[in-house]
Amino acid sequence: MNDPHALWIDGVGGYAMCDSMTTILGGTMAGDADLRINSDLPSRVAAFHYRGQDHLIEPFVQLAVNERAVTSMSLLTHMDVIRIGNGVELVFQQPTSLSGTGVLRIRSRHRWSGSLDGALLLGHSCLLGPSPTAHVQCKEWSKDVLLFRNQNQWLVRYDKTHSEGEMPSMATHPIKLGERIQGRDFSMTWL
Amino acid sequence: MNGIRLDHNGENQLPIALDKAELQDLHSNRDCRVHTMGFKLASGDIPLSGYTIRRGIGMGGFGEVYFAVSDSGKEVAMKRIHRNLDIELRGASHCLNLRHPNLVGLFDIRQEDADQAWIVMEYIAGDSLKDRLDREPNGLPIKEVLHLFGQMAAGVQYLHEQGIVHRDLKPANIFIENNLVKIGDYGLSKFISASRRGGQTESVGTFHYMAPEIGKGEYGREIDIYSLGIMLYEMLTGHVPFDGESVQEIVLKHLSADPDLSSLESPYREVIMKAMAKDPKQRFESVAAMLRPLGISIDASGMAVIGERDSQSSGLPVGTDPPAAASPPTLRRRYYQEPIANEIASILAEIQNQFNRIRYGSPWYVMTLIVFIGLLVTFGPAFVPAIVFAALGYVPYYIFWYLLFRRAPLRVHNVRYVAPNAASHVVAKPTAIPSNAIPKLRPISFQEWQAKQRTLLEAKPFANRWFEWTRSTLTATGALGVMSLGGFLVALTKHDTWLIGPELVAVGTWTVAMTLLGSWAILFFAKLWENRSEDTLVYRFVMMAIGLGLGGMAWALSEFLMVPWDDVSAVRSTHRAFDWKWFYQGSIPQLPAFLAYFGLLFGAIRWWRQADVLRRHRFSIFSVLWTVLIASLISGLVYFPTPWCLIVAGATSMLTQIATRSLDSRSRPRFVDMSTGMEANI
Repeated sequence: MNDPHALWIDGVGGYAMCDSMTTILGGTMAGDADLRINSDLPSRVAAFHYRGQDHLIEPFVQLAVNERAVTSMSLLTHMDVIRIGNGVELVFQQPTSLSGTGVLRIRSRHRWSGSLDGALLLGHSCLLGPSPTAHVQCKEWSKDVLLFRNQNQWLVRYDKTHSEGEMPSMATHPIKLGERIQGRDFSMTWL
Repeated sequence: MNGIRLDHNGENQLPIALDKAELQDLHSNRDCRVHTMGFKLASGDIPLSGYTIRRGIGMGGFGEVYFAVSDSGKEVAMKRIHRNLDIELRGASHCLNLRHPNLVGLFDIRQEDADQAWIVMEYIAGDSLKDRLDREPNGLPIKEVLHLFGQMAAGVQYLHEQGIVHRDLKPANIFIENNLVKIGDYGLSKFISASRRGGQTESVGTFHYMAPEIGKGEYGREIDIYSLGIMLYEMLTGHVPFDGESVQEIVLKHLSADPDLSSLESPYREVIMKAMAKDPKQRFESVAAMLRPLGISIDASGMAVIGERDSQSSGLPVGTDPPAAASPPTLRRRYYQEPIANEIASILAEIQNQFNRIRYGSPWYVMTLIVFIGLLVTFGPAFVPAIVFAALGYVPYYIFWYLLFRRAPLRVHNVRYVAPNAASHVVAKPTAIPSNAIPKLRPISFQEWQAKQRTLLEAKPFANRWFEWTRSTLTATGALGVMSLGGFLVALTKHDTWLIGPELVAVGTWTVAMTLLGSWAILFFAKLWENRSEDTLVYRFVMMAIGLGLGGMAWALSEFLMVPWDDVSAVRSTHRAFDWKWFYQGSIPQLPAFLAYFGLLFGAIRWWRQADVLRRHRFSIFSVLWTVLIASLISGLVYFPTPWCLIVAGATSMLTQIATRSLDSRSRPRFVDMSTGMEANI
């Protein structure tokens, strides 16, 4: 079982980076699942599909979205609560519809496998930072950092100014697996 | 993973516009370590054999704290100590074998280097109390306050029983995981910081929670009781009792001012007052004694139990009357000082709160809206005189109330200063809360919000935009079909028979076709420009060119359909004040008239804004009315046949808005805190 690629953000948390059109969710022993929850869930619980700018959930077991049983592929919207089995609860967030990225967080007393804090179902871009529309809230940062896709490459765009008075100057870099990305008040690694 | 997803964008160009410097950075492919943040170790580093760093957790004066995973998969927090090594390690080793459910467990101390050591401890995956309070600026619900406070007090009580004074109790050191509270950062010596926004493991005392006797070097358990009193106050109100623009000001308040407890109810008021007494001897003799009046006790296993309040042995000041435990007092948000306005605002807020709980777009949502509008339309007019009468009566009442009963502004502390060496308190004038206690907020303009959101749009691939434009045009086409059907039914009602004359069919077809072409063109350019900052002049010029093109098509279609403008127009050619050469042949508009009308219409109105995903409102009737007004002015100028030209303009405005999604600008942040740079809504 391999843990998914994750973005480890210093001072914030670790997030699985789900970069494919379909992401499979499973329980602890799910060998082929992209995301695993430490629980007694079966190996394949649901699939998350990315279509257009939307995320759809396809159930493989009995699950409910906002207390309504879901039996076929259904659209997920911001703050939908996904209840699986006897108590695993996930919250789906899409703080801005301008980016296709959705965020999955566990609401119940369970944990993601791999010591993660959440999962990013990546769209074409992803926002990290202090603004309320950021996919990952980084409250101590001064500016938002944008991750965006160009073909098969992810790039990071951030303000590289050194001090408050300086004119804003943006920097863009390709992200390499394992390389640390570090700015004035942030640092993270995509592993 | 199922492999890297294939890109939606078939282009070789970046989806985002980069400036020259960025392109140089990109092509040189430099490492992006432009500045240093402070975490010395990165994900994947192994500072201690057997432990791999995942990420940094927090920073402090002593060093850094990291989240790490052991080779066997155990999650731990690792604190790097590199200052006052002997003292720190002595303190930590004293705590190594403490065991309490409300304390963060210490696993090991490792010193592999003469200059630094590592404390390996329990990793708490949840938020800190500070995070929790940041999300609730008006304080936590009473039930949660008691639940959290009981646990943190139980942990402190255990430390005191072991002869340990925490000395740095603050929300950033209290962690909550699955409703279980854990106190961290005990057993270490403390440094002092003025920052209240320290990281979660910052091992420094902060002035906001610091007892006054610490300045004299007294470090008894009373200082923890004082800090607990401050945290209880903060949990109930959402803010600390003493804040200031400088360290001296905060310290002075701790030394001499009384906290403003007017917004608190009994017994919280009395408990906090006693816990925050200036004289340590006047405080509760133990944490357990502090908990008693709150109805919390500590059982034999050292855990907090919430039960009946004990008013007999509370040790509260004489005259206090703690209420029955069965009905815990609640704190209500105060909107206005004036009681009637406050009551109305509370009721409206509650209604809004209930409405917001209904999921947007659900059948309940639609039904509630329909019922509400129905009630408003049916009974609303009957209440208008009563509302006007009440408003007229309220104005003199408010003036009367303002002059006689208004107190000092809400965010004012009634501070009592004590002169140095004076034995008694001296009442001073109310002093406004320091400006840094109230966040310095700068309004965020709508344009500023738009500009920020466009950075996300910049990254949107071309394929996505193409897909969205296709969806919009299809939606516009469908919506126009519905509108045409409605128009057809309205036309039927104007005639006695089921037959509509050919002149109406011709002009109707012309109107529908021009509306559709116009809306498609607007949708196309709005989508094309959505990721760029607006250049109004250029956009107007382009839109005018589009208008001229549409004018040409409108003329050709009019000729093809042989629209009898003379018969279908409300304004006849004979009514014209003067003759427009080239524009009209008799009463029939010619090509120049079509070009002039559509050219001016598309150049005069900023159509792209009506289809902008970042517009203010999903659908604005004002935009439609404004469009019709401008269209009527232009038609008056060039004497273009009405009402058809107005219908085209109005329907195009409606269609473009209906067919495009918009981001909900109501939820956008309204302010930015100038000191922290964080956005906020108040």
